[in-house]
Amino acid sequence: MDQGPLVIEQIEAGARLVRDFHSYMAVEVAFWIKTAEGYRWTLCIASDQINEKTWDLGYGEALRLIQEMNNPYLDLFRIRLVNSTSPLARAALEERRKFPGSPVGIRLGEQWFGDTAIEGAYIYPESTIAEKEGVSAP
Amino acid sequence: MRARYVENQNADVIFRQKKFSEKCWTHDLEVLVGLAGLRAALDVDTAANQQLNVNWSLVAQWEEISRYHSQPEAEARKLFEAVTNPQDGVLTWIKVHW
Repeated sequence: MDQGPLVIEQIEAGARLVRDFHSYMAVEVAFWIKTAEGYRWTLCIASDQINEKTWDLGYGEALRLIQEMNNPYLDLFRIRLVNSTSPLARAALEERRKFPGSPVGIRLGEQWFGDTAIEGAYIYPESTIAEKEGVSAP
Repeated sequence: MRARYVENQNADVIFRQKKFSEKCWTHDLEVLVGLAGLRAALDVDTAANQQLNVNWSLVAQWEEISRYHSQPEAEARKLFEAVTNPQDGVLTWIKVHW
C-alpha cells in the first residue's frame, strides 16, 4: 500500500492517533519515516515516558487505538514507539526547532536522520500534539 | 511463512507465475503474511489478543538492515521474547498456521 510517497490519508490518520495517544502518554514529537532500506512508511511516536517498564503498555494502548480507528492507513506494521532521547526522536525535535510555532509539518528527503539513513520523513508540527491536552499517564 | 506460502501454491502457480512466486523471497513480514494467505487470520487474532498484537508490531519493525545495527541487550531480549513466547509469540502463531 505504501511503497510510494507518504500520502495525506496517512498523515491525517497518524495525526489522529498521535492526538489520542497523547491523552494517555505525553508525546514530545511524532513523525513518519521511511528508512533507506525499509519496506514501508512507519509512524514513530516519541515520548519521555516510553521506557523499559512502560513500552508494552504504550504499544498496547497505541494498538488499541489503531483498532478503534479502523483506518486502512494504520496498522500494527506501521507503528513504532521510541523514547524522546532516541537518535530518531532527537533528530525530529531538532528539525522542528528550526521552525518554532510553524502550523505545518516538515517534509524531509533522502538523508541521514539521527542514526538512520532515510528515504523520507514527515514531522508533525507541535500544534498536532497540542490540540488535545490532558495526559492520564500510565 | 515461506513454507506456508509454498504449501498453499500448487506447482502450476509456482512455475507459471514466476514474478508472483519471486515475491516470496522478501523479508518483509507484512508481504509474507499476505502471500501466505494469513492476513485475515492475523487481523482476527491480533484483535482478540493484545499481547500477540504488541509482539507482532515489535517483530514487524525488523528490517534486513537491522542485522547490522548494534542494539542494547534489553531491545534484543524484547525482540527474542516477542518471537519465541510460547503463548503469544510470533513464531508460535506462525506454527499454528503452517
